[in-house]
Amino acid sequence: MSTLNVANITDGTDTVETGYVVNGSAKAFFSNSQTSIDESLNISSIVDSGTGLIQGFYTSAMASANNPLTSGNNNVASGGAHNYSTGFSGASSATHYFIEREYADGTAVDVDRVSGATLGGLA
Amino acid sequence: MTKHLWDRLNEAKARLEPVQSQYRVLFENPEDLDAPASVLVPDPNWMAAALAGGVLPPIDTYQRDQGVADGQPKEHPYAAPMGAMTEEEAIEYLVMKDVPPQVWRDYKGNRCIMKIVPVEMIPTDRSFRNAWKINQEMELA
Repeated sequence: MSTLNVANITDGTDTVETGYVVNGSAKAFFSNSQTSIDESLNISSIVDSGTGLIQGFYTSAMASANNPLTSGNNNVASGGAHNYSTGFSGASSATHYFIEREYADGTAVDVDRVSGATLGGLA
Repeated sequence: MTKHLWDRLNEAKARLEPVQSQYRVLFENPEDLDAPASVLVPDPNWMAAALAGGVLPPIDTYQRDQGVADGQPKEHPYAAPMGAMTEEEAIEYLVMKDVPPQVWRDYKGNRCIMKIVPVEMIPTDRSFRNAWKINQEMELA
């Protein structure tokens, strides 16, 4: 495999440092239900710990527990008219947590799908 | 020079078909007896890498890294990859990596707090999910 070792990338008009590309790419991503994983990178397992509670584990740990994590969910099959919120926290650089709650009253609920991506540096 | 684990995972994802495991790991937290049983689901890309070999680091590198402070250099991303595992060995590896040690290593009680089960044994009705416990009735030979 060949390796390009360059400091900048340009399309002829705009130029960006390659660091923007490397640091801006997702270091892990996932799309899963409460009980299965459909699409992922850098995930070893998920743990279903109860209604609305999912913990994901990274195969290759992040540099920090505070790496940015973006996520979303949908609940179309179960009546998507409701609104749901997904809270997450990084207990360590090796794992992330999701807590899905009904927006109206904060009750934990199972949703059809949670997807997300973790950015930032790797350990 | 060994490639970073993340690079190996990227390469493996492009090369290998995902493998959906037919097993789940049921476990209870002995430090929170009121909590429901948890269910570990192996990742299909991770399982494909485990069965193929040449991607994942030895499990002891993760165990040593658990004592490394957040933000400090870790061993497992740079360790030389190990060979192919069977699905049984891969599940055992995942237990040691992603299940708390107080469940699989330290627990001395009589209650069965961990079981590896076929996926069909996990209930699909989640109406009473927060009441799930591991069935203690064991078949004796």
